[in-house]
Amino acid sequence: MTVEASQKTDYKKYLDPRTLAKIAALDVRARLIVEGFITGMHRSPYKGFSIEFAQHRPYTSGDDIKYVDWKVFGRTDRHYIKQYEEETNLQVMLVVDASHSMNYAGQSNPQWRKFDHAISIAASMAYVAIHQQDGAGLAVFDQKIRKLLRPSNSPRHWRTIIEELSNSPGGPKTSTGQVLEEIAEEIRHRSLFIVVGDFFDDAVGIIKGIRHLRYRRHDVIMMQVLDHDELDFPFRNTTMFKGMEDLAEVVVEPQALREAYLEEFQKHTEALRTACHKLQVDFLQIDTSVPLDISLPGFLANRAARIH
Amino acid sequence: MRLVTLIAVLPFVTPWLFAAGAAAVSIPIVIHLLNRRRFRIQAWAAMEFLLAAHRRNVRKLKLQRWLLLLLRCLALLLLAAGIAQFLPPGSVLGEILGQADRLTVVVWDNAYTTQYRPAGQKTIFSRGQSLLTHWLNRSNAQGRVAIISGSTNPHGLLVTPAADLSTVSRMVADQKPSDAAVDLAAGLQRALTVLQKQKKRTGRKRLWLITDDAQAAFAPRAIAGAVTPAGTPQRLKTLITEIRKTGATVRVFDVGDPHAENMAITQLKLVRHFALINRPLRVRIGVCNATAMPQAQVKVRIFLDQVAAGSVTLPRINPGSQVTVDATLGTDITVAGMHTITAKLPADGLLIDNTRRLVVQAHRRMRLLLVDGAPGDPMAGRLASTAWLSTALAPLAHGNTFDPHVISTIELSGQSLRHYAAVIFSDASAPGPHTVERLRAFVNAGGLLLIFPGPQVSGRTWSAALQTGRKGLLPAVMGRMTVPVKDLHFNFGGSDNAITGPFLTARQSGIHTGISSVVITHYLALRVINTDLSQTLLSFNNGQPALLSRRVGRGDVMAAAFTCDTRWTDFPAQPSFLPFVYQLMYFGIPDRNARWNLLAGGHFTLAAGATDIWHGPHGKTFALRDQQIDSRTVANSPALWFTGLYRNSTNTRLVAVNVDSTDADIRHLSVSRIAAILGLPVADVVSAPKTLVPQHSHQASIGGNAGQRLLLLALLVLLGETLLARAFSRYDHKTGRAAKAESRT
Repeated sequence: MTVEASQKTDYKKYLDPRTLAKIAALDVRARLIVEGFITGMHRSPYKGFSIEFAQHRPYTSGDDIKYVDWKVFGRTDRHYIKQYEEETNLQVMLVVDASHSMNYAGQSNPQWRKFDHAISIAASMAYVAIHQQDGAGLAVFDQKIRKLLRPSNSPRHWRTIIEELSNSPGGPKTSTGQVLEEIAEEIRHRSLFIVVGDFFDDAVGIIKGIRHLRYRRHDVIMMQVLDHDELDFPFRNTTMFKGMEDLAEVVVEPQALREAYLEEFQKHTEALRTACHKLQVDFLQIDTSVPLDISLPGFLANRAARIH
Repeated sequence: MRLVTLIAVLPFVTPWLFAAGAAAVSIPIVIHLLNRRRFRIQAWAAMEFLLAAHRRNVRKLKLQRWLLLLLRCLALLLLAAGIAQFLPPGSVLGEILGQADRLTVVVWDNAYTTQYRPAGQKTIFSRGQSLLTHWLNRSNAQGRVAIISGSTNPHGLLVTPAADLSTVSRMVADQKPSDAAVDLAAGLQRALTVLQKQKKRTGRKRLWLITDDAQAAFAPRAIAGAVTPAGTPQRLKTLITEIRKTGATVRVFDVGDPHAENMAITQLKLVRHFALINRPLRVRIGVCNATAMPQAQVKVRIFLDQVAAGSVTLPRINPGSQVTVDATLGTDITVAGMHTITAKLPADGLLIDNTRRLVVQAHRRMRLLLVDGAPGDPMAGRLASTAWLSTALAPLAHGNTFDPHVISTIELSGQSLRHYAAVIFSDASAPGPHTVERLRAFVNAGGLLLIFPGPQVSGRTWSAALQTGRKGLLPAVMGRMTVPVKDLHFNFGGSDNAITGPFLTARQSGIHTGISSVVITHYLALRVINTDLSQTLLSFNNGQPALLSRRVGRGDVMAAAFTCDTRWTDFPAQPSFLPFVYQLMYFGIPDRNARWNLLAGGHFTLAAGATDIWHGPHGKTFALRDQQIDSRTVANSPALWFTGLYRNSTNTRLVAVNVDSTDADIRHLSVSRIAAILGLPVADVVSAPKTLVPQHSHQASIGGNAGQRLLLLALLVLLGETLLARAFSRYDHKTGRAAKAESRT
């Protein structure tokens, strides 16, 4: 069942209790500078909601009204939020690719698209972040940002994220690098960026985007979601492959071209992986045929171990 | 246009086979194209990588596809060709599948010598016949077969290869031994032609020579009188080499009897060239001893018209040699016409040459035409040349051998020549062109033209009229009358050529004939132009030719340098003149019986329009047919291949056909000797074979080996194609860039 087919969101669908139970047992930690590694461990240079007042800022949708400074409202008739200097929690920004290439569903499980897998991951991560009082935000993109939810730790915010993910309109093409650069300019607060997509576009552009995020001192996790077909290219008979993102079509004998394809694919992935390694960005390749409760906890445990 | 050119370049490709082959080869191509059109459609996300891989490998992939396609086509062809080997030869499916033809050319020595029957056994011919029919009747015998005669008779067998072996088998079973002479060289030559005509795709070619390994078939002719064009050993070896060059294997099957021996009458002819009634008739008989032991007291019985006419006993004949003996028949011929003389030896293993027949035409007298150049010359009188000759030829009032008829030169143009045995010009002027042509026809038909000079003769005119070249009649250019410094005599002590004339055999034997004392005071100079055309029968002691002879057609032309009158010589007045003239006629008049005595395969002619029905041995009948031979229309007989007597329906003409005595020596040659003569390994000469092809090797050779090999090859190609396809699908797995990168990592 595709996301579009289900107008009434089934949240449980994206939160496999087994998966979430395992992730909940792990700490999602920022590796470098992001404040709020664990609540109370670091002082944040940024403004948050604490005891010591720091400044006001305009109210935005999703802010808790209890932080509205009514005195200022009385004086100015405008809603301002009081910000205090306090120990802040981690802000997680989930950046999800919703382009057409993410709609690919493999031969083994035609009902399960890469996008389904990607939003499951995003939902899981948002759930974990919010339940440990960290903020979670969402950006859905194809060639440009289609939806942007700023990070919040409100429990209801998680549902908002889920709804946005479920109703994401997808564009025909992807421009991951450009989108990352845009988000880097948009989100100033140091955050943990979890970019979920297949990254089937220009590797140089993607790396440029990641570099931009790193320049803004964000922590970045690149999660490449791939169907098993894309990793193995198991086709046998003569096939006409039609590009899902307006690329040309070609008739080939898959067996003859398999190794060459895998080589090209490997080259692209290796370029990304190497660049991520250099920029101290985690790169995780996720096979949609592997259950989330196997792929994610392993990665996060590994990451936690490195940070500690 | 290109297709036509290709077919022309490849002579083994018939248009039908080409089309079938093209259709067969197109199967994998069609499948390939269909597969390319029948594809599933797959939406694909990682398209840029697929396109990059395709762009990078498109040329290599095409190459691989073509290579695999090629291998598939090759495998299909090999498979088809392999299967075709197991199909019946000549079948449409076999042809379509490119069935490799197999051709067996059998040269079967069916000469009369194969009628030899060893004591208590079947004939040599039957042995070969049994072997052939046995092989042809075997259920697994396949391919095409040609059966070629190894004798001078090329008819009756199968020169064009046939695939219907049951019919071939019946044909072989119906064969009778031929009375023809052995001629292996001709048989091998015909086989070579058949093999060379075969298409290149003919799978296996082989030549089998079935022979009795008789000496006469392989060795140079040791017996006099050889007339057949049988091959010398060198010729046979050359032919075998040529046959092997066509790719054919050669095997010789010796079906002969190792102890074969034979006694044969190899010659039977008149001692003189014609027969007269009521005159003693002498015949010359030749007997060959083709046994391992000397033969003594060999008795030959003689028959005249099937009635015993005496016998002659040869005291001793050494092995491998021939002895001739002259015998006088005990009975004279009393009726003019055609008669048969038969000589018979006691029966042995080869009956056919124990009997020999001779047909002779007996005459009352031999009619001669004397052309007198000076008739009524009062000065000549009894001294005239014609008078001397006429008196010498017919000295008696009755009962003369010759019957000379004297005419003048003027009468010659209106005189028919067909009833005369000789035309003798005596001091006559040269005839005109029309008469020359009649004389040419007379000589060609077997007459004798004899020219004596005289004072009236102009040598230049005669030479111009009769000519001396190959198309002429004269044996030499006739010159002028010459007066020698000293008197001349006939020379008998000079070169061998001077006394080669058969009519002088008596003088040659040392018998005094008086000829040596003849004095010649004048003579006509004869100048020999071409020694190949003329023979000097008699010469003067100054070396000049005195009597020359030349063969023209079936007749002879003689030119004398001396006269038959007493003005130039005293010869006519000598006692030796009469016997000289007789001897000259006896042996100078050509043997007119030769045309009625033929060897197997010969034919005779009569004047055009002779439409009699002729009857021969074994109830054969035939009619003569008018044909053009040497620009003359004659009634020609078919080739007479059976020995025996042939007679026309009115019994007025007889023809005898005998075997060629050249083959009388049927003594067996050893296998190693045969192998050496033919240039073959000894193993390829099979002595006393039980079968032509052993069962196991037969199965392997017919349809087995080639088919199995082709199928195996097809499987190997398929295996290679599979491995290659696998290797291609695992592109650069071990040597490609990805693998290298992995290894570096």
